[in-house]
Amino acid sequence: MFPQNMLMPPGGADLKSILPELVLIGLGCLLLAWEMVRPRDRVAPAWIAIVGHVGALAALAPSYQMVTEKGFLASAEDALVFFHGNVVLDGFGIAMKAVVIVGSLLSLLVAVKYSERFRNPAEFFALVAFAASAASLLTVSADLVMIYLNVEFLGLTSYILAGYLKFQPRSTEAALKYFLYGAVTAAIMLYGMSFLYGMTGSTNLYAVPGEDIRTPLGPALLALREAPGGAAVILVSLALILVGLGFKTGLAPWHQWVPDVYDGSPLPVMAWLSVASKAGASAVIFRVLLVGIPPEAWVGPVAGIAALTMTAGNLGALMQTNIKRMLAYSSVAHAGYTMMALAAAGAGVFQPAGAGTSGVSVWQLGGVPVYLSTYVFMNIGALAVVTAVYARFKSHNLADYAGLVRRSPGLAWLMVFFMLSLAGIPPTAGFWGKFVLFAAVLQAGPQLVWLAIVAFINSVISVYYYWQVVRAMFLLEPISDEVVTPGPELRFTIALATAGTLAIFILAGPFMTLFRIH
Amino acid sequence: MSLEKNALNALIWWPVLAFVILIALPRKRTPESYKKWAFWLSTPPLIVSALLVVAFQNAGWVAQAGEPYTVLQQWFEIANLKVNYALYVDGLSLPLIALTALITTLVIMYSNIEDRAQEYYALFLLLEVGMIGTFLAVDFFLFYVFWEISLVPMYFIIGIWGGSNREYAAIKFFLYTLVGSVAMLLAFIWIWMTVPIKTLMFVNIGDAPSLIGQTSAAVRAFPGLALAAWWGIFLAFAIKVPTWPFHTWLPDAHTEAPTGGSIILAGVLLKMGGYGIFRILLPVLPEQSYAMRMALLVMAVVGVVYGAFVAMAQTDLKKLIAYSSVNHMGYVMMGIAAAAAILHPDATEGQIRFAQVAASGAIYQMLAHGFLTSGLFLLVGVIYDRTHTRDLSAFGGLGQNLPEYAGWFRLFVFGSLGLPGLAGFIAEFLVFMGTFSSDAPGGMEFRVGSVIAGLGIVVTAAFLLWTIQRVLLGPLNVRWAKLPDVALRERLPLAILAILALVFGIFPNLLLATMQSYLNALPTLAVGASAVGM
Repeated sequence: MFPQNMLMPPGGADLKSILPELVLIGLGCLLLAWEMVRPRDRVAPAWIAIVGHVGALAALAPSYQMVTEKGFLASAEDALVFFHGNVVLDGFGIAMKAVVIVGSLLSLLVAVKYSERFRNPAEFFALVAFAASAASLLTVSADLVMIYLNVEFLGLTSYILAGYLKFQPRSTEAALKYFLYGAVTAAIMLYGMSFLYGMTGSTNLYAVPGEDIRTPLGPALLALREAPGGAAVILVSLALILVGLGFKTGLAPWHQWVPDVYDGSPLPVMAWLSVASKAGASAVIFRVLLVGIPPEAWVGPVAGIAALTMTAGNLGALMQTNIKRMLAYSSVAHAGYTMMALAAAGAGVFQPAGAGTSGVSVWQLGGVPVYLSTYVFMNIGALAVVTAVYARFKSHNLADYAGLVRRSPGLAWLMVFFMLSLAGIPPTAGFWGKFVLFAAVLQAGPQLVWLAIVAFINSVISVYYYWQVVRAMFLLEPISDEVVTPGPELRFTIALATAGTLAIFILAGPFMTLFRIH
Repeated sequence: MSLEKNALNALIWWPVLAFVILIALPRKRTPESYKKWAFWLSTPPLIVSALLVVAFQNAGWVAQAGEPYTVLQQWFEIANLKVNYALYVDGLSLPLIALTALITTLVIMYSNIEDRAQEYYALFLLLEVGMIGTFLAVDFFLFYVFWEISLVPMYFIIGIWGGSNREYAAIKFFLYTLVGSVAMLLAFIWIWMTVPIKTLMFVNIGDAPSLIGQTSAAVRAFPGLALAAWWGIFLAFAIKVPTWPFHTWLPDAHTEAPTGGSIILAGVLLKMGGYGIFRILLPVLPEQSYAMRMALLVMAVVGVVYGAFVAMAQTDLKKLIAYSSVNHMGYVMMGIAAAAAILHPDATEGQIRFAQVAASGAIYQMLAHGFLTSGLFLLVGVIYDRTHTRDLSAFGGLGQNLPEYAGWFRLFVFGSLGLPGLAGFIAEFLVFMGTFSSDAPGGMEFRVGSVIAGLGIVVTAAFLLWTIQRVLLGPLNVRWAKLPDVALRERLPLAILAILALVFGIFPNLLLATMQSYLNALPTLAVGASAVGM
């Protein structure tokens, strides 16, 4: 018998490492086949997709077992890589994968009833499965080419999803806008990547054992920085790459598409984009910058982007009278919050241990996955309530929520709970999410205190518009006495989101341990 | 778990249960029946806190008396953070807890809300969770949770059942308080990261590590940030107290809130700020508190004088009482400033003694204001229910046909202006004695400050007497010729509050004994700072 590692050399094609994506792609193919046989089916494909996602989540187990020994975010020199350096497995990637799949799963639950508006429901679910596989693979992509391919695959599927209400002009407009923006920014990103490749000869973030030819990008750029003009080239390519990745994550100043696209998209697609797509994109930004590019180049810009993004999102949300647009802007703001953890981690990397800090801390590395997993539950919860109200009133006006507590008290109180969580007020998951981010950014030492203060001001601004929803529900007189009764799937989704938001608050300890904060 | 520990858990979890029971009651019952349920559900915390008071009284109010009642359970521990479910009660917090339980019950007894009664009473029970929890929790995170929980019900109480401008007042209250609490959160995160400690407890329980005596040395390396952290924490409490210039939410909130809400606001919610400064700010950052003693004094004195003058200018009776709260809480801040002034290793015996006197006055004032101003707001509610106006110029001569009302009104107004024999007098006397003495803790500046604040007393007396004149004396406005006098549901709470104000006005030692062990510990906070060689 051969020992395991001779059959399967490191860096080799171990299919176990991408099992969740394989499950999702298989699921997509199955749903496409289903669509061909029974094109009008809605309920069966929906539940197949949901069960398939649960399967994909379970398929994470083998990868989880493979990485338990390694660091949370693999370093360039010492990583568990597969497929000749195209895929890397580490705790961070798996955590983000879980966020993507759970977010996708919850969005599907929102879609079960909503999809009766679609001409080809099974095709819709198939697209979600394909998109989820792309977002999921993005979290573990370890090579610039691989990253580009995944961004494009994620983009193409998302464009179609955004336009899935094909007879609604707004939905079509959303898809077109998303596509045009996406195509341009992806091209710019590719241009930036070509610079890096041209200067260093490598596109891989990680060293591949047994293949010594290519130096990983990080060390190569460290060397390049010393060469004359090297730092400038790094900055230029960084800026170009950030355009593409920042667009996908919805960071300012590339966030203008978010409100339009989210607003025009079908509700489940908005949910999907705001949690699953964003998680994938945040993961890749985090990995590329932290592993691939020397932090001196990007800590300042990323901190600035974080501040700009949260401010743009919150100020934009302030003006909205349409709850869907408001939550879209709020989603921009939350992307800004998460970037605080990245800036903080970058500052931690070149911070000498000792003077009040100790290099990168677990809070900084865990910040993004912790925050996004709280966001999945609270945001989907809020969107599920929005879906329920929409089903009754066919509009997203805040005015429809007037006096909701008199008509549907349970729903209104749960909405308060989700709004509290989004605002980061206990007793909710959002509180610990915000705590972790504040902890991460303050841990970076005095240089990022200003960012904490910007986030502080933003938190207060955000409460104002979240509270506009609460105000409508509780303080305004009802304009009709129609009771909002969510269907069983929505009720289940809301219950799940509530349970998640509350459980993360109470079980904060074990929960954060999942992200190696222990 | 022993019976004693269950007492503290019950104080928090019973109101949670009561809230759940009340919202689970079938809808479409009569408002009266919801009131009955809420009233009886609110009594167990009152009984438990009364039993605790008796137990502490028997034990002589020493700090150790609290030991059997301590709950210390780990919530979770990750990385360099350990969060405890830690409840603790001592002579500083127990009177406030009893006050909370009492005022909650009295408010429910008094209220006669018709519209959305079920939600109304349920929200008061939820509010009780936040208030009692704030006074009981001694781990920062637990404290913060309760601190925030108390926000939401108050927002609804003002916003749903308030006056014409209720929405503005409610969101203003909410946002103001939130600014403070997020600043406090940031400050504590910074302290947690700077001080090599895993838990953020602010009371020593057994041998569990607490922040007391730990922070000074560690934060000294970052003087600017330490001061910023002090201001962050202070902001949260100063807004709640409220001290000038952070008081602008209060007149709106108090005026627009329904009577029950105003009573709770004045009676308990404001005390959370003063309590927080005594329990958290002074012990956790003694050096910075000392450095900021003059800022504290200036804010206190301006609050006293400004509050009094602005109150005098009001034509709305409720707004007048609201501004008188700014004035009264100014005395609390004066006592706090004096306490901060001795958080220094060089403080002399005499200074420490007088600072303790001033601080005891401040704590006394929190309770006295709780009885007296609650009563005044209730009286405003009584007259508003009957006349639907609060315009001072619309009243006059009410003493003629509402003799009982006039009696209560005089009693509480005189109490509020510091008439000897009522609790307010003791409080103000102690504060002035502590700050004006020849050995005043802050030196000459504090004596000058107390003289200026003395002016505030005169103005307070003036506007309160003028209020009596405008409401009770003079020719009777014929519109009010047939008003019914005080009803039973109003008389009972008034009587209870009046009795408490009288008892603590005549027997100050009853209440002074409770805070003794806290005051004795106060100067030792500075010792922690000196140990590192200041």
